[in-house]
Amino acid sequence: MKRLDLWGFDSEFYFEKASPKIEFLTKKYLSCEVRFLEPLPKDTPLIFVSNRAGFLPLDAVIAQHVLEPALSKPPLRPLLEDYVFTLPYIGLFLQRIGCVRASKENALRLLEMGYSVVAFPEGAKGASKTLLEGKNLMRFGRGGIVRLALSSKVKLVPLGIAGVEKAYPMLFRLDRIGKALGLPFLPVTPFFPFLGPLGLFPLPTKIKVVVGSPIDCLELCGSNEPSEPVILKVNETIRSKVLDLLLQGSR
Amino acid sequence: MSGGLRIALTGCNAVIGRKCLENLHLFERLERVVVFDIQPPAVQDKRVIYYQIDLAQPGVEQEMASVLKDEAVEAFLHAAFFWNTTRDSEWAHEVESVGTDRVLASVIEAKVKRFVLTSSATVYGITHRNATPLAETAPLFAPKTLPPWRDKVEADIKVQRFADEHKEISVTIIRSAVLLHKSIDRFLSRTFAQRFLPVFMGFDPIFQFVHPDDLVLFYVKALSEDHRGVYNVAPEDVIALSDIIKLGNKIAIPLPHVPFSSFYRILWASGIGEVHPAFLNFLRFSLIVDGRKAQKEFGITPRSTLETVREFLGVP
Repeated sequence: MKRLDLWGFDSEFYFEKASPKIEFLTKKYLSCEVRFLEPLPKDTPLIFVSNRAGFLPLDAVIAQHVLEPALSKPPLRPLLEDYVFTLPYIGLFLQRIGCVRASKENALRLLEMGYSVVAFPEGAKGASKTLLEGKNLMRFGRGGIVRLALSSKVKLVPLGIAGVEKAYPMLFRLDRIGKALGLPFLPVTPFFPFLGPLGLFPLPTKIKVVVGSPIDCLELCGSNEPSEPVILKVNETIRSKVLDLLLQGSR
Repeated sequence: MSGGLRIALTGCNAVIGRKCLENLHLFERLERVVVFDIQPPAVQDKRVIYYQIDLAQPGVEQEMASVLKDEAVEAFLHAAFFWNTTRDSEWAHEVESVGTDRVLASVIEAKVKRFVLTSSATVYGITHRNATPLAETAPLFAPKTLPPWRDKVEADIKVQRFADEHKEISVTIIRSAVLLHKSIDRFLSRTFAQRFLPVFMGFDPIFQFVHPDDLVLFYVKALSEDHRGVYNVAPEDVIALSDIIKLGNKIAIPLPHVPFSSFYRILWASGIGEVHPAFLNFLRFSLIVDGRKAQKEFGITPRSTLETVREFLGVP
């Protein structure tokens, strides 16, 4: 019998079965490096904010694995776009390792439970970046992460994950076919869809994760209920910090 | 009049109405139960009075209001909904959506103090968006993802609006997670009672189940005391489809969802099959609700999903 939480996370599956395989994937296959600009507080949950690339959320799996030693309560719970949960096998796997649908309610409840979360504010736009757009950062929503940090009183930690766009070298995307299949787009890589599901396996590339310093949004906003322009300004500050870390990782 | 509780209900042969009538002993100081339905109730009790009423008929609200006034009814339970697919969607619309208008009109006319609506978590729809503990404020996606539930959503929304416009009446909407019991004839109960279970390859949805004996406790309280608002009733645990299969020693039949769903849609359109194709989404997506608000407000904790499933499957 699986012991699942309300989001379908199976801790036994994650720690005993999936984690060793993800360890191999990140350390050996993708030769992933992680660098912390400063040590993170270990006694409290955190909201990580990261860039996003690739049709499949490889960056979420990597972040979850490499940040695990730095967390007060592992595993890290990635907040992902809706479409990944509609994919057979992949959506199920992501659910069982602790990924949840990106929503403020989910994030707040997980933070209340003591989990740290990682948000990808670029959303599906980030996932749809082609190989050439990989180092660009899309718009960070409309300040949802700032509002989340303010209402939960949890610090934000910017995160740059570089190299995922090379693991899924998307040449272009097919929007109409994707939408007909219920997806935001269909990626075309040198191997997908030509090799079928095999083409979805990431290519062996070097991935660098740079973890920034915690940010207190309350301090930046000046109040618990800031105006819309202040939220957007802080949102942009966080975006520029993530971009800076992404460029550091890309060097 | 001795001053005891006097209630009225519709849908006496649907699960909730029937359960309430079977459990009249749970009400403190109950004096009278007025039943409005096409068919008489199966339960016989001297406190129960039956009036033959068809909610699909225009003008029944006057008749109901007059009975409610004469019987000095204090609380009204509206439970006349079809929880199995019917192909006669026009009739279902008359009973569920328009019928709710008629019930509400009679409640205003008779100045009933308390109104309780039976709803279901399925009004949130069965979609990948709902694999998350949904609060009562979550949007109701059923009209898009579960078309036969359109009228139930309309009724739910009408009653919410009614609650805003008639603050003098205490209005409670109870949206329960899926009911599972051998006595219930609904899609999932029927599916899980089979030896062979269809599963969609690559999906393993999680479920929350409520035991009808627990759900009736919420209704008894809602009819006896003021608990204004919308409440999700659900336990705090979930179970995966694969675990139900293991636990019940059942045999899974893996099916590819796209070809099978398309094939079934053609069958349904040809008049074959008794379950609307939208219900197949139960085999792909989870529907999880946050039941904490109801548990806190009513002071009732429903038994766990696992206990309900074990009882249903007859396994210790």
